[in-house]
Amino acid sequence: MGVRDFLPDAAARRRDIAERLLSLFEQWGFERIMTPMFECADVLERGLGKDARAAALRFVEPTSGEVVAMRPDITPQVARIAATRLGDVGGPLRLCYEGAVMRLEEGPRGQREILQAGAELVGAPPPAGDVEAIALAAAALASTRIGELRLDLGHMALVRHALAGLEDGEMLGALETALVKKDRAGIARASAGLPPEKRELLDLLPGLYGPPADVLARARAIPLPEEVSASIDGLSSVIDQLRDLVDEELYAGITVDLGEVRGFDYYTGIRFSGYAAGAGEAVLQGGRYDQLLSRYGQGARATGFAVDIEAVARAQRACDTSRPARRDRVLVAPSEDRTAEAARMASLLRGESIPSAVHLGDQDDDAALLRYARQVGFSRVLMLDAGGGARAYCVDKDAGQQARPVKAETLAAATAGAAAGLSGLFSALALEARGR
Amino acid sequence: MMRRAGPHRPLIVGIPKGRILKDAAELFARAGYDIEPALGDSRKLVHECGDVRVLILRSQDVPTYVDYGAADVGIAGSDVLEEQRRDLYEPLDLGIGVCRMVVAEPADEPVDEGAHMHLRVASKYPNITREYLQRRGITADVIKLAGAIELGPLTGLCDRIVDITETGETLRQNGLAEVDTIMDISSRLVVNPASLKLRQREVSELIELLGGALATEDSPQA
Repeated sequence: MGVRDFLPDAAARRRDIAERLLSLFEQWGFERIMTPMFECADVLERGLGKDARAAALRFVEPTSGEVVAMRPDITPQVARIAATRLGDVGGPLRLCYEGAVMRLEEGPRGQREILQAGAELVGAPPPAGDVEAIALAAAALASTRIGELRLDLGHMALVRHALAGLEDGEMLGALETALVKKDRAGIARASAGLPPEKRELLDLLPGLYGPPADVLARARAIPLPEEVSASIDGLSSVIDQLRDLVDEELYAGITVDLGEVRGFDYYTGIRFSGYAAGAGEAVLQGGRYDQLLSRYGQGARATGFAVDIEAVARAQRACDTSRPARRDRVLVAPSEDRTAEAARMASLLRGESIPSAVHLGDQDDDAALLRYARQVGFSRVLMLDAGGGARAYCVDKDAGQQARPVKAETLAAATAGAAAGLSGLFSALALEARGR
Repeated sequence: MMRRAGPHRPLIVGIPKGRILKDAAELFARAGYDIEPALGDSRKLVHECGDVRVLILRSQDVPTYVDYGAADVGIAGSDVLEEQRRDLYEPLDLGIGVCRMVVAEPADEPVDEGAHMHLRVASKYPNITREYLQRRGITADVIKLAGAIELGPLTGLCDRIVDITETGETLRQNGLAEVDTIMDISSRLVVNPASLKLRQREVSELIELLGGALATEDSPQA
């Protein structure tokens, strides 16, 4: 069905990616918003392109009888919010979000729930808005801890120009399909009835990708109306301005694709995508959407992007990016007569920002208890034995198992309310175990 | 496990085993890629061939490998691509594996379309079959089979079949007659969207060299 559960390790990886992204967006002055999982279909769909509309999962909301749609995309929701707020603030809005979108997709992958984190810069004219959005996208890519990354830029103007004035719906459909696939033979077949200069232009589109200097030079050699040429010059100037704002290696690898049309229904200007080895699909997509806000009553120029968290997680695994380090978690396992003391200690540890819980089963079988602790992700166990003694265990996978008696005064101090001894005990134990 | 990431691994090419592999090896050779080793030991499924690593796959699996990025590029029949509808680039028609997708029925027991009978159509390609029937306004049950489709009408499993054929010989031998051609089929070069961008230079070069090899083949011999 394309929906899945994320168990602790998988959830930790995705949460780590999302948190890095959101904190980066906030560093850049973006404010976080939250939008509903579903909305009235006609409100949501106003902001969706043809593909996204087809991808929306709809149902009838039983109490009102209204048709609602699960969001296949969060950008239109942000546009709707921005359209109502923008009039009041009189300047650019910087908004970011994280959440799941639901898409019915053609092909064998079918319905999919996709976790996204994104940033939208609304009320931002070109080129400054584009430069900021792309620089942030580059920083977002860099924050994902993936070795091999690519930033791909483009502009919708050339494709829009090539398809402008074509009225035969069937031909347009065939051309769009062939352009999506970069299928030159298919483009030639579909454009057979068109004037030669149109055919020549369409024939160039599937090959117009590669290093920026090369692609831009080839595009400039095509006879184009002034506004299309200006768009290409605009892209070129944005790439120049990004030089000092983007990580050097990422900048050096930038590619340009002027024939790319997949998934860019509502984009009007410069578009950009991020790719990572091992993901198999774009991990980041974005671009300028200057007409989207007007569908919600307030025209404004805007640009932004979303990161596919699942695709990033896949790329991280493919390039062996380590899972985020897990924090030590302490399980306090008391004998029957010491549960109150255990609860106090757990509380003290939490006060020191060390996650901890009190074991609820019995602790007769040490080996079973330690095995349980490891299975559910506790890295430390503090056993409070009947009669007043205590033992601390380290149950890290890499550190092995090691017991250490806890000094009576440490325990006494902890019982009296001083946690420092306890947290110190666990860090000493960890060091010792790793040193072996 | 073979490393999937890393800038130093070769370009991974998925090719269906059998006839296509032989024709592809010839085409790749003319483009300057020696994938001859892949024609050797038929039990080996991975072959290191210099700049490229060849995976020998079932033809239906090539788009899957390329879609998920387990292969950067692949050779896939347009029948399989049309059936699976994956999101891939298809920059070249390689002109190999040429055949047709046809509708066929028993020669001595043709379906009377005017009788408005509820048809049963068997195929390895249920999506293409369903789309074809919808386009023609025919309601029918589509039965998915894995092979030996010609047997369907002979055993009363179905009234018609949708299958690929090169010369029509197998159909004739099984007493079947072609009713309609749904599409012409040939093998395409498919490219994973991320690989086209991440390994742009190598992928562009492959497309260009294969395209060049195809063009010299097409041009009239002196």
